[in-house]
Amino acid sequence: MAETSNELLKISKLRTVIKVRDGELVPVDGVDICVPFHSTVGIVGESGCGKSMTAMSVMGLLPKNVRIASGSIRLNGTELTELSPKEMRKITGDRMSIIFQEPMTSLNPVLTVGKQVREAIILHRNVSKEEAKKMVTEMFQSVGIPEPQRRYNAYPHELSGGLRQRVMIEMAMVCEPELLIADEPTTALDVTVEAQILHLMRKLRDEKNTSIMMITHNLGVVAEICDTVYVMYAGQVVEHTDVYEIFKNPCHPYTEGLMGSLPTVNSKERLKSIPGIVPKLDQLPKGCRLHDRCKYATERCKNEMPPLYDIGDGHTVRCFRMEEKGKAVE
Amino acid sequence: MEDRKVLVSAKSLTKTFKVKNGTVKAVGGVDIEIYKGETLALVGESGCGKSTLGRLLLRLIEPTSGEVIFDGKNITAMNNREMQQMRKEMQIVFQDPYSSIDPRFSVKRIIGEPLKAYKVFKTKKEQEDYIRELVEKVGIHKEDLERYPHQFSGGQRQRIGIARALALKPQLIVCDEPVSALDVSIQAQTLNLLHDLQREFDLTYLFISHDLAVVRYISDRVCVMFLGKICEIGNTEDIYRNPKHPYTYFLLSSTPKPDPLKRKEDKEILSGEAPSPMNPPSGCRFHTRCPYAKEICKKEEPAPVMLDGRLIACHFPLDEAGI
Repeated sequence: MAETSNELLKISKLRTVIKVRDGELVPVDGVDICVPFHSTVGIVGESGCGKSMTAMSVMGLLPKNVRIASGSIRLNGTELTELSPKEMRKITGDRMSIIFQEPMTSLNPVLTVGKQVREAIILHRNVSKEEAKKMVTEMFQSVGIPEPQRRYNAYPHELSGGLRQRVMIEMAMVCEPELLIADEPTTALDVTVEAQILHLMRKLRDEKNTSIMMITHNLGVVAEICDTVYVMYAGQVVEHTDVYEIFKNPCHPYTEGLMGSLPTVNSKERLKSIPGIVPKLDQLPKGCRLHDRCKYATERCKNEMPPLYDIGDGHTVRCFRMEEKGKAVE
Repeated sequence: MEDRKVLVSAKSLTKTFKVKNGTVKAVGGVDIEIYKGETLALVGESGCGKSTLGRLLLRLIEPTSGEVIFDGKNITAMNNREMQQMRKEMQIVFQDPYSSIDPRFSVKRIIGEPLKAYKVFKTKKEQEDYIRELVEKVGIHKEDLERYPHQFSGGQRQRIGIARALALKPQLIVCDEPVSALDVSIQAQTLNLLHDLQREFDLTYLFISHDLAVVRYISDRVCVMFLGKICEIGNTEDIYRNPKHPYTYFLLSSTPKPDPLKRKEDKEILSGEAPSPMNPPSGCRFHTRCPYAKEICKKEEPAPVMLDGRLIACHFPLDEAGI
């Protein structure tokens, strides 16, 4: 791609492996993802598709038995895969941060939320305790936490799910990171609260110039907030294009199946779901990983892995049906 | 649709739970009717009392006051033995099939248990044949009957839960968030299955869900709840096209639509936090978050009234809002 200067995060050929008793599993297998500056990029797919593992690889938060086997992750020019844990810690929280689905598991239950956010500030910024405290209450106000003074001294369990997620977002945003990774940030929340949180994320993105990598299984959330979308299936990117194109013209059978699974507004027809389930990592089929669930599958799909085809305007699709429409990019 | 037969009706049903520092009125005086053969959806956010109401209608928990009439009989007045006979007619499917089916039972035993309890079949062979036929209907291979829950995926486990609920050929199945824990493609498979089974077995569903897109797809009528009270009941399409209760309006407008062309970055968002059910607001329980609230809403609780063929509890119902 020519527009290298436009790329905040560039993941290339990322391969992350899990060590298990009798060998290795590959939850992320040759993934290319690019997050441009000032944009929201959606990563969609069902559970077990490798979305969260990709995020954890970027954040350097992999469990002990998981490692990045090959590939590169560049954050605005810095190669993250070559950094020492100490150097990595400086970058996480400062230049990039992450929020998770369930804020209760990410917050320390025995410390007040104010103190936890304050610590995050002191760790990365050269400020005194008092200044940090002032920053925290100001931020509480801007993320829409009512009565910031009182909430500063509240423990996580005293807050509702929506408020806890606001605290997490604040903690992630205090250092105004270049990249915010949001891993299913609204999945555990009620719809009216979800709308509030999405609104907040949009506001922060615009005010602080942060780019967001939004990991979700909810296509509604994608349509609501994302600029471009990557669809992942069984550890690979199977389709990538901008948000309008993906909903108007989904080309990969898996994307098509995801769209077909959504109950549509006016129709009570049978949902066009995808038969079967996402394969387990130790049972990945040969050839195209979707072939045994795909209605278009041919002999070739059973034996050969399709490359990504560029079918114009950066719309890439990992399916042999696109062979005539575009040229292979890998 | 006056001529439709009412299968279940509840009259001023309330349920109060004791908690540490007082009581919570989870369901506060609900009147509701479920017609035979329909799918009635119960929607609302967490803590609004929809699951409690579902359990009350099955008498899985005892109401604090009020009564439930099932198929013409007052089940709240029944003794245990009578109730046990009624239970055949009403079953439930839970959100998480892993915690609601015994992990040490094989599929055959899970589905066989209710049949055994009611002595439906005389011989083991008859029962086994029946189970075999039943699991095929919900999409589980009959070769898998000896397997255990952990050997199945989430979607398949939900199918086992559905087969168990179906085993006694009930009239009513309460589906409590049956697809919320499933991935979208599996969710679609399960919804299709529920739809097919309803036709085949002439089932009535009470479908409890917070997912408004799923509800629109599956239900004939919708009942919206907020803090233990009913806001609005009506035909699904009417309510989705023209919500009259402000809370319904905000629920619908908050739901992310899977269409980027309809993205509205400046859409109205319900502000504030949900009030605590331990200390619900006076008057209309929604008034603290309602942008249309006036003085009367703080003082007087709106009584449910019929308006254009639906029940609504609001002092100032919305006109054609058009979302």
